[in-house]
Amino acid sequence: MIGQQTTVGRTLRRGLRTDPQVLIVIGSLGALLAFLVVVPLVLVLWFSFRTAGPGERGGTFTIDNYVDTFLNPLTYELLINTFWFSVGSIIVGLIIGVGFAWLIERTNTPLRNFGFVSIVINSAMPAAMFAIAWVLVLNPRTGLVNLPFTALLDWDKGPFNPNTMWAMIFVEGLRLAATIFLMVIGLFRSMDPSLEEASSMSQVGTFKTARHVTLPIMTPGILGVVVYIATSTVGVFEIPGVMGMPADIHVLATRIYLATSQVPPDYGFATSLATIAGILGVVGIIIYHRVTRIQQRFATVTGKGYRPRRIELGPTGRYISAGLIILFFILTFGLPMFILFWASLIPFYQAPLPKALEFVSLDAYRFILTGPGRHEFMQGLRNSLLLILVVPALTMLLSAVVSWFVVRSKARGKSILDMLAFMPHTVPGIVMGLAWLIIGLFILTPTYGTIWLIVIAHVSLFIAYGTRTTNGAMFQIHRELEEAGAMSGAAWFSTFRRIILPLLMPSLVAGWLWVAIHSGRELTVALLLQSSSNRIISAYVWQQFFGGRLSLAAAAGVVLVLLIIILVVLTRIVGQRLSRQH
Amino acid sequence: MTVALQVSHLYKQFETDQGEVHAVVDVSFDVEAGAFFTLLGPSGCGKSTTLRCIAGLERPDDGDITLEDAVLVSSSRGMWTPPHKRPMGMVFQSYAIWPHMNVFDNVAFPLKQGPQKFSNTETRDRVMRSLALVHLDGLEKRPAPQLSGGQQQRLALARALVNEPKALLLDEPLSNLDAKLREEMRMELKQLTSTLGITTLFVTHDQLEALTLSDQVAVMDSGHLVQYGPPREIYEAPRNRFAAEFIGSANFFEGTATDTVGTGGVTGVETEHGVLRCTTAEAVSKGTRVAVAVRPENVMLHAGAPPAGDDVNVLSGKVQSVVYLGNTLDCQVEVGGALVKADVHPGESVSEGDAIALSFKVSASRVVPVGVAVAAAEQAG
Repeated sequence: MIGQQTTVGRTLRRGLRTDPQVLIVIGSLGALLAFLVVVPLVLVLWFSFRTAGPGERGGTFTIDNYVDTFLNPLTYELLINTFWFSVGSIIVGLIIGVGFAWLIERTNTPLRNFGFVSIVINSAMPAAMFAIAWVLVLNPRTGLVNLPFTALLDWDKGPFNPNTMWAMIFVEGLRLAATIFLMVIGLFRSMDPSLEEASSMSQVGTFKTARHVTLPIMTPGILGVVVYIATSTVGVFEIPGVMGMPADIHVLATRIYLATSQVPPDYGFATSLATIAGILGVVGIIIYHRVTRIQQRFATVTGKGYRPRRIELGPTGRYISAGLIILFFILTFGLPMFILFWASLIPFYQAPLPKALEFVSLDAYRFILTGPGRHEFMQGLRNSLLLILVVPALTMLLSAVVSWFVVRSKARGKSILDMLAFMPHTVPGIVMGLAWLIIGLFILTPTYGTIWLIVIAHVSLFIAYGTRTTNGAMFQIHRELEEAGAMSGAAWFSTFRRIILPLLMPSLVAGWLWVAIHSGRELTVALLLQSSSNRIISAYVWQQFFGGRLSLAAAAGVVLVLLIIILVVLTRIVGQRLSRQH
Repeated sequence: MTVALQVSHLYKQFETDQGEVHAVVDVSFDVEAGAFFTLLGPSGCGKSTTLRCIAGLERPDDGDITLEDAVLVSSSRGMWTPPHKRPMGMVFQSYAIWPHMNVFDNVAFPLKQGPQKFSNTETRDRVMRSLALVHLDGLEKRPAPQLSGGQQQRLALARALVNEPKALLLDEPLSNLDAKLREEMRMELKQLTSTLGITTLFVTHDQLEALTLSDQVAVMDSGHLVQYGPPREIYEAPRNRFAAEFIGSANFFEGTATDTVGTGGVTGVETEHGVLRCTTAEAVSKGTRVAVAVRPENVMLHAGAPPAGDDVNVLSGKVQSVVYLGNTLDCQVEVGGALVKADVHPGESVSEGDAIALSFKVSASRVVPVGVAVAAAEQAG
């Protein structure tokens, strides 16, 4: 009848259940991620409230660990040290990183490509190696920078000393500069150039424009970068470990390491410190998300395909900027690499002066490659190669499957899956290392002391990065490409294997190489989990350095850097080939 | 004719940030075997969601779907068949041609990965036959991204047909083509589906495509199926205001029914222009608020005396504007403060400002309910 209305309010029965196949997969993925991510962190928290450490029988609930930690004046020294170390190195990193991003992206400085290469090549040098090189450069007697004072002025020692907070801040700042550069350059690229042009048209000069227009516009974006970096510096271990620890200058990460490697280990102290570090990390990431959300609200960066006009530097400016780029390359790669190489050629370290040339030999290489040291070194090399091959493969495959569920499926709980996958990112590496140490001692005891424990730990460490890559790529694949597979009669698994994986391949390869590089040079977790049989090269370098066998450490380091450079170059080639294809 | 596809009481809602959206509300229809059935409606009306529920790409909240003898979805029995187990082929709006395969591999995929296994020669034969069907033979080695838009469309069609599905689903397949190519493909599609005699479900927002291609058209609005029938019936006897407005254009006169009549009867409608006599498709009772829909091409203009009789309504007005469109004159006539649109033969001598009589046949004046679409939309929202 006309005038009657269709009834809509029919109750919707949920008679149609979710596909069991999908439920099983999402359930087991969730369980796997929970095991990789949640269990380690929960264990850290658990043992911070127990009287007995992992592997020991018994134990009761206690808050003594925290009472001890907070009554211990050492803790406050640690927090203050960590604070200054973070703030100082971020300031150094910001000045260099943002300055370089501006020079390379927004001006007509010479050596632009070279500047880029020097940033990228810096990532080939593991942080510990970088720190060792700077220890040699800054050595009060034999260090290159002190040579003018000791060799020419005949002072007892020069003014520079690697075992100080200032030196740590400077060296960490150089490392951060590269990371900050890579994060900030995107902001510069997507900035609307007309904002700057409007300033130029108001007869305001280049540097005033940069200071009063460009920088304020960039501020929210840079603030996001700062919070992100600060979160990561809370758990930085390598540089304070190499430079600060010998002089008893401790930060959170080095103290946690010390508490676990002393005899007997103090797990109560380690886990309560790790919990504090973990909380700092989570708070940092929450602030980061808030900051980036605000940044999106005040979107000054439009993301349209602008090609910003480059600022013309005068002839003097061009000389200065070229000089700065060369100086940056020397400080971040040229000098450390040269010193490491030199140290590998000299049995007992001496400054690189002509009179030392008579001691130059390849003995260290002979010792680790063919001599008596070869077993230990080759074992490390084998283990490192295993990591480089297995960790990225597992990480990227798991990431691809997780991303499919996060981006594509309509299953409930997919956001939990995404959160789980992102969580390791919020937790400092040293905390993850401690967590996996506990798992090795406590749950997966058969894996303790094997390379496989490090493999699993690394997968849990890099899954956050892996899923970010594959999530982005999955969004790019049109949903209908996959639906066409289902409509062709192919089951979920065939569609995933024949359509999704091949289409994801470019990002999988890029992510694979990134994870390979980072797994190959990772030290913190590997060091905490090391035993005599699962040592990898980076841990081998550490052990030789602290054992006083500098030439062996340097030689192994050179081999490791070469290995990673090959991976970096491969990444560039693959990246360029893929970007040409599309 | 036997019914090939049966959809009954289909419901689907989505959770969004703005709350629940009722995408499909109580949609039921039958598609006869071999028929070309079109779901027509504006974007967001639920036509694509309906198609995707049939394909199995969406899981309906409630309802039954049967294809020939097989029950694909039955909420009462808790049955749901995943898309890869439904014997259907589908052409997507984006074509969804896999860029990492060549033409041959794209078409061979359903044969290689599908439920049935074929020998290599059989696969090759079928792929070639399918490609020949859409005139792509000779291009089988070409990488898929190197095809033009029209060729990709044909390839998608070949892939959808290669498994000899029981139904072919087409999700706005012509919308990404330029106007000329679209017309060509439309003809080809019509020819191909009628040659194969395959049951076809077609989704479009283009009324011209719907009218020219279909055996049956279902008009959807805000998740509701508002009318379905042969194109001619939809056009000539729209059941409601939305159907009348969405397909072609129409003049509406609102008023109150003066009689109670059954299906296909004639009733008077008391409007502000007097009583108009109209045909009604559905039963209507006296006193109900209704509207009278009249197509512009059914409105005659008379400079002299208008025709008289039981079978015609007559109004008088003043010509407001005349636009020459080549094959017609598009006239706006002011009648008692309202504007009435009339498309008349270009030979008529009509000019602006003329006082003029309008007439339209009772059979061309259709009663449609008032505001059902709006009420439904409010409930749905």
